[in-house]
Amino acid sequence: MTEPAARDLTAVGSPAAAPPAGAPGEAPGEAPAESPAGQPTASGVTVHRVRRRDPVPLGAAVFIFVVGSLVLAAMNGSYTGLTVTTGVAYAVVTVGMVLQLGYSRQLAFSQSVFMGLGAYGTGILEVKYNFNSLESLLAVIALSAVAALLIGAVVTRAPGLALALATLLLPLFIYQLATYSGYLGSFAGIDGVLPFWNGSTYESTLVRTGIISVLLLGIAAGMVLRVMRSGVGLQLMAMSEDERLSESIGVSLRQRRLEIFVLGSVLAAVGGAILASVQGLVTPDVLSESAEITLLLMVFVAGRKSVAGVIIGAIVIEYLTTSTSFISTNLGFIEGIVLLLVLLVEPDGVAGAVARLLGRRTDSWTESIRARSDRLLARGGGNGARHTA
Amino acid sequence: MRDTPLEVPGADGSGAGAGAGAGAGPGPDSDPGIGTADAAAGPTVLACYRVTKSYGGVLAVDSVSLEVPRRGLFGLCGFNGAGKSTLFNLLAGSVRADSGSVRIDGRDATGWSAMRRARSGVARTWQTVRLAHGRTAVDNVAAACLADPGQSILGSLWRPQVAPAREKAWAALESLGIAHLGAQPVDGMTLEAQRLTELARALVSEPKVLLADEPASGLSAAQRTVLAQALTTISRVRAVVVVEHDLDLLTSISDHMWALTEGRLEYSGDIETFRASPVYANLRGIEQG
Repeated sequence: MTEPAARDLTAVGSPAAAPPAGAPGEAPGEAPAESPAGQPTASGVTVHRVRRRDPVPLGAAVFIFVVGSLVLAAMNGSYTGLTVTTGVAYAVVTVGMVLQLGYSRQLAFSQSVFMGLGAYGTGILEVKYNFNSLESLLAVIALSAVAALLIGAVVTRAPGLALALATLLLPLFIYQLATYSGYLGSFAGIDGVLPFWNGSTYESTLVRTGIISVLLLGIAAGMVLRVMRSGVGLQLMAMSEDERLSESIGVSLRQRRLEIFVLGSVLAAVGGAILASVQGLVTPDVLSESAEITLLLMVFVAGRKSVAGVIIGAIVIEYLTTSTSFISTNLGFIEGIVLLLVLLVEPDGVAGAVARLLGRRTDSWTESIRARSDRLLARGGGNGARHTA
Repeated sequence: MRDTPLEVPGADGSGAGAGAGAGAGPGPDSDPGIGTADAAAGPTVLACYRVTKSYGGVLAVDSVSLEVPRRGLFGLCGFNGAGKSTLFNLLAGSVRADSGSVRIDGRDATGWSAMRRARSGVARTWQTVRLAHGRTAVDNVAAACLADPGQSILGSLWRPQVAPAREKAWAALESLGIAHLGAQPVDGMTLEAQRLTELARALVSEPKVLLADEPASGLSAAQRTVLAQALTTISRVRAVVVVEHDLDLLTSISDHMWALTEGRLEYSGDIETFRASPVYANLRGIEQG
C-alpha cells in the first residue's frame, strides 16, 4: 500500500500543484530528463527538479561528426574507408528506422524505395540536369518529403499489418520500374554522380565526401534523438504501446503516423543521396527487396530502439558483407538466418541485450547503495531529507 | 466516505454530495428518460441523448440519456454485460454510437474522435490498466499533459515541451501520493500504484470529466479506501463518473447513481433512494449469490 492520498487532489494537474518552473540554479530553456529525488521545502511542498536542457541530441550529433571525421581521415580513402562511408549512408537510413520501426513501431517497409528515390533523384538531377551536390541534396529532401506525404497520406491510414503489406509491395513495383526504364538507365543505372566534396585525388575526395556524410549522419541522429526525447516522443511512446490509449490522452494518430512516415522516408532518401555520391553511380540494387532485408538486418541485429546501435550495426554489417567473399556470395541466405535468429532470440538486438546486462549490474549497484544508505539512516546518519512523498 | 468529507480549499461547498435529484428527472429537452443529476453541481459538462450501440444485432446500449454536471461523483452500475463499459466508450469517443448524440460543454461532439474529446476535457481510465511498459511513471503521466498536444514533429525539434510536462507529471503523482515511484518503470509497480499512475495521467490534463472504469478492480480493501478517498476529493472540483462492481464502495462515494440493465438506463437518482430501490436489491442479490 502506498501513502494515503490525503493531499490536495483538487489541484492535480493545475499550475498550482506544479513546482516552480525553474528550480534554483537551473538555466531556463527546454528539454527532458528528470531527477527522481524530490526535495521537500520548508513549506512542505516537494519540488521535483526537472532538467530543462537536454545535451544528448546535440552532443551525439557533434560526437558522431568529430569521431566519424577523424576515423575516415585516418583511413585516408582506403577501401575500408569506402566501405565505412557506404555504411554511413545506410546508417542514416537505419537511424530513421529507429524512430519509425523501433520507437513508434510503425510497420512500414518502404525505406529501400525512398533510399532509391534519393539515389536516383541525385543521379538524375546531377547527370541529366547539371545540379551541383548541394542543390541535388536539397532537391532530393524536398522531393522525398512531398512523395512521402502523398504516399503516407494513403498508406498510413492502414493499420498495423495492412500498412506493412502495403509498403512491402512498393519495392517490388519500383524495382521493376527502374530495371525496365531507359530513362533510369535500366540494369546499368546512372553513372557519373558527383561526390559531395571534390579533392585533388580520389582518396582525398573520398575522405571529404565521407566527412560530409558523417555530418549528415550526425544531424540525422541528433534530430531523431531530439524527437524521441521530446514531448512528441512521449506521445509516440504511448502510441506504440496502445493506440486507443494514446487517443484517449489527446494524441492524433493520423498526424503522428504521417509525420513519422515522412521523417523516416526523408532520412532514407538522404541515405540514398549519400550512397550515390560515395559510389558515383546508382543501380537498381538499391531499390530491391533484398536492400530492404539488409536494412532490417542492420536495425534488428543492432537493436531497433538504439540510435548508437543501428549506426554501428549498419557500418559493421556493410563492412562484413563487402569484405568477405563468403558472406557476399551467400548474402541472402545468411541475412535470412541471422534475422530469423535475432527475431526469435533477442528482438531488441545486441543493443537490447547489452542494455539488459548493464541494467542488471546497475540494479545491483543501486540496491547496494540503497542498502548502505538505509543502514546509515538507521544509525541516525544523513540529513533526514530522504524523499518519501 | 461522504459522511466525513475532506476539507478542500477552493471547493464552494455546494458539492454534489447534497442529495442529487431523485429519479430520472427531466433534461433540457424534457425527455423523461434522461439521467440528470443535481443542478446544484453546476451546468452540464458532458451529456448523451438517446445513444444506442449494438454489436451484431445485440443491443449493448439502448437509447441511454445522461447529463453529467460540472462537479460531483456519479456512480454507474449494472450487471456484467449491462453496457457500462460500452457507454463509457461512447462517451469517450472510443466507439461511435449507432444513433443518438453526445455533447461536451454544450457543443455537439457526436462525430468527434476520442482524441478531440480528450482535448476537450474528457479523460478516462481503463478497466485493465493501460500504461506504456518500460517507461517511468512520470513519462507515462507527462505524455498526457503537453501544452500543445498537436505540435508538429518538426516543432518538437525547437520546442520539445517535455520539461514542463514532466514538472506537471511530478506534481500530479505527488498529489496522489506516489511521487516516490515517479522515476520507476511502471512494469515493476504494484497494481495499486499502476492504477494511481493511470489516474494521475487522466487528471494531469485538468479534464472537465473523469470517466473511471472499474478503478478498484484487483485492489485490496485498504487500497480501495485510498482510491475512494482520492476519487471523492477529486470530485469536489470536477465531474467523476465511476463504473464499479463493488456496490458498497460505489454507494459510499457517489452523489448520484445510474444503473443500467441490458443496455437501458433503469435507475437515475440519489443514493438513499437507490438503496431502497428494487434495482439495488436485484444487484445485491446477485452480488451476494
